[in-house]
Amino acid sequence: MKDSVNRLFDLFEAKKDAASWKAVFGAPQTEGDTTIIPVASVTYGMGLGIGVSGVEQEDDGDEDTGQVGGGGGVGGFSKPVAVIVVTPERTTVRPVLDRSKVIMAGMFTAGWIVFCWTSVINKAIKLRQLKQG
Amino acid sequence: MWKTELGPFRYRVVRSEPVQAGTSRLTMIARVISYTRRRATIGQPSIQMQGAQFVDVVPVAVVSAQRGWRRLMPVIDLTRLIVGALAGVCLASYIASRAAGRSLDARASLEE
Repeated sequence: MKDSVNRLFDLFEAKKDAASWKAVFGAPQTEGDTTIIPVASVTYGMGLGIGVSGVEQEDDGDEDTGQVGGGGGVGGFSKPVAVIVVTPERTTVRPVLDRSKVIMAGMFTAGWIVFCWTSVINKAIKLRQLKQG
Repeated sequence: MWKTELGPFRYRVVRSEPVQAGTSRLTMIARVISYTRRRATIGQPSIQMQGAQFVDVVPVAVVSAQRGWRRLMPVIDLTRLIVGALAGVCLASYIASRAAGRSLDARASLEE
């Protein structure tokens, strides 16, 4: 069981060290005299838990395990960030804009501003009426 | 490569070997933030082990060597920048509206 624990922990260390620039910079794609390299950001996570109850150490060194339970999950996502364009004249980095996300964020911002300032405008109108009345 | 560790958190800046892309030699730079937590309790009559890991890899910049020139070009996540700016506008609007509301309440109570 100790070996299993050490192997599991080694797996976590390996995954941590394996993350490198290759995860976010793609392979160059050449078309004519133009080369394009896609660039993305990558995020992932994982969790794992195992429990064993009723473990008894036998005389011959083996372990007699009772009940075993466990679970785990892995998730991740990647999104494009930019494109590197290489031409004979120059090299440029062109950002990639997610228009739908920006539009939705803009709509939420507009609605939030209306929500925040509606009560303030009502109070200002009431104050004006108080001053006039 | 540059690395900083603080407990389960680790921050690394990694760079690639120069890669030939067309007429330019590119060196890619990325940053890696990771959080790793693992624990085991080995005993009798129970054994428990838990582990969790989170890794975020983001491109930072590209160094381009072309025509005898070397240029450092940052890689900017424009979407995140705009959404972050809008979030800042929301926060500022909330704070300003609360302050304005309290000011109006104070003036209304004085009028009454």
